Amino acid sequence: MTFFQLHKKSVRGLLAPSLFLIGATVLLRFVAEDLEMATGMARGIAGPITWPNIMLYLIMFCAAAWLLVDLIGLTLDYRAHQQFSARPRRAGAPASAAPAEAAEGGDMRIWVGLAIIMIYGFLIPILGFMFATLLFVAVWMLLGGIRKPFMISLVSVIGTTVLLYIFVKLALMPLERGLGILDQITLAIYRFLHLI
Amino acid sequence: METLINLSHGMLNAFDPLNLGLMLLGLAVGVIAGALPGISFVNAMAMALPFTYLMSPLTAMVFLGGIYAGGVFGGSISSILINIPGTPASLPSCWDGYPMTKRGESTRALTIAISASATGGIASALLLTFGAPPFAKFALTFDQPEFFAATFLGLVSIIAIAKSAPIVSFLSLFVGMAIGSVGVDSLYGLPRLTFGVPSLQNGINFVVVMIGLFALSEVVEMLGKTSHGEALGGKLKFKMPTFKELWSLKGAAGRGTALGCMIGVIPGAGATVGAVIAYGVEKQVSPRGKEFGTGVEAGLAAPEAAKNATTGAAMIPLLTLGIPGSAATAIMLAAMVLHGVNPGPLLFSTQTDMVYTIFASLLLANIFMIGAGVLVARGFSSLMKVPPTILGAFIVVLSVLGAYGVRNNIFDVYVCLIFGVLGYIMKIVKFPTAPLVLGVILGPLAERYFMTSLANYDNDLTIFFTRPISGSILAFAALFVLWALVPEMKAKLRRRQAELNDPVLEA
Repeated sequence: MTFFQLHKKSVRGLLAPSLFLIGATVLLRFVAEDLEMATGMARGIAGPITWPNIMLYLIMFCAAAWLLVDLIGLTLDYRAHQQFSARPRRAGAPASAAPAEAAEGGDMRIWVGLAIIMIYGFLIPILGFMFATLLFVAVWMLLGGIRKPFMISLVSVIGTTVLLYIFVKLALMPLERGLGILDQITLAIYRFLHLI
Repeated sequence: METLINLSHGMLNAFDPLNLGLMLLGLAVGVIAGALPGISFVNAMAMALPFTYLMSPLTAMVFLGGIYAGGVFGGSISSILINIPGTPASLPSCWDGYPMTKRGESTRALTIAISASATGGIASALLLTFGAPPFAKFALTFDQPEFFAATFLGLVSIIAIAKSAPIVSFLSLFVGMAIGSVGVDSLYGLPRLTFGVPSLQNGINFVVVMIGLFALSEVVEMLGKTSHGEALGGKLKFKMPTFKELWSLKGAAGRGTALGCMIGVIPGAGATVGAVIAYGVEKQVSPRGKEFGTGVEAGLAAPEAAKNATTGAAMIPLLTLGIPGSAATAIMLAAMVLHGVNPGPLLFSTQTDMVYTIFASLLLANIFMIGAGVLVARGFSSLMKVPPTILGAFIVVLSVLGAYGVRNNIFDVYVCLIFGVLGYIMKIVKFPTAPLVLGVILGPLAERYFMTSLANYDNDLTIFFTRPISGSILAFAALFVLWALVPEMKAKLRRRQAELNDPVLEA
């Protein structure tokens, strides 16, 4: 068995530090739009890009250290495995280390939920906060397994209204009202609810 | 003796019906605003500022002091109950407070938080009363290198929180600090890491990152784990801690209070640094340090006490030197200036009544905070009876509102959502999020102090080590790292040796 066959999963784990290393190296080139100007602005040893540069070098250093530690760990594991394979197996000992399959993240609902949250955020400027929230709460409840239409409508309408009172009326937050006709409808509802 | 006489005069003024009523109103406003993500208590103080025109200077300060004391605690309510820190300083309360809620012990967690916060707040108010003049002299010796050293100490304290994976934790911290450096540089006005995106020129706000990483990732995880009928964290246990149990946390609360008082007096360090350092130190000294992060009471009590202990301490540089150490004290300074009161050493002789009324009202505010905190926390605690799907939907909406409310900018909502997805991925791959958030919060502060130190001291890098206070704080930071890492490294090496000797153990 080769080193990489034995530690396929662990070797895949080396991807994260490598990505950090490459990412920080690439970012160093784009830390400022005009690197020459940024360097020219520096007085003495410190300039506008000194601090981000220090951070990026520190990221590179940590990523390299992480990579090194993992590689050393993998090599030691491989050596230990070779020694272990050569020895007679102890009674009751497991035949091989069964990889603990991570169960987290497998739930499709989580990824659908994340997608819905993203769509909600991007719909706010288009539909306005009020309509986007009504829709989001209803869809989220459906995704969560609530199937009673009355409950869904009641919760989304009352919840959104309470939030509007807190944030529009009390906190005076200029929430998005949507585009075109939706803006007019939202304004009419605000007036009806005495929010403005 | 003179101090006690002055304090008794202050107490009489504070118990004036109008002052007392407005202080209680301020407390309620502060606790609610702090608990609601998106409406920080600093915003509430700013919104309340115009109303103080109608009040006397003394009443105005009592009212704002109430909001301040209540608001600093209020942030912990949402931290403990829904894992969204209402204020940056409430971040450490998520680490052990929220796991307690998940176990169905929200009432217990809130009671511990309120008791510890009140302890810290009262001790700090007493320190303010009796220690203001000598501390003023000490604070006067602080300059930019000292502020940098204090912030640096706050940053390295993260090592105590995640010492089992120091390299990855530091990597996460530096990523956070790099994110914190996005935007226009405050000294030179040059945009950094903006890639030509105009909205990035204002930088990435830490509140937005914090909400995305903690709240959104938690909500989607909750969606995956629970069905709509289940209560959050199984059956709720409305178990209040006994006095004996609370008394057993005296060490944690005492250490947190002492650290909070010391750190609060440093302008710029504030409640966040105090709470994070207190958590780190407590993790080191507590016999249950290894269990921190799983809902350990001491891990909640220490940062809570430290956070509120900074409130009175932060008033010391404000009243004696006119230096506001935080956004909240800056608003209090603005209120004083609006009313024609000039803070400084002379204030103690010219406006003695006012100074001691502020001291007394802060003391009373921290005592009454227990009641206000319990009332608001009870209201929030009933949230736990709501089906998690419905609760989750409104946490998302509150998070989006919180992100939007930072600058009334939809771009912040997008950033928050992106960090929500990243937060979930980080959770799956077990990449620590807490150091990243700390980096985003303290990184810009550290940069500002670092750059201004170099600008003020002819680019002399040794200034951080040669100035006695700055050098001592940095030496303490180095000792702290060693104290946290050496035993862990030794244990790791021993484990590794054992695994190599017997690979069966490794399996």
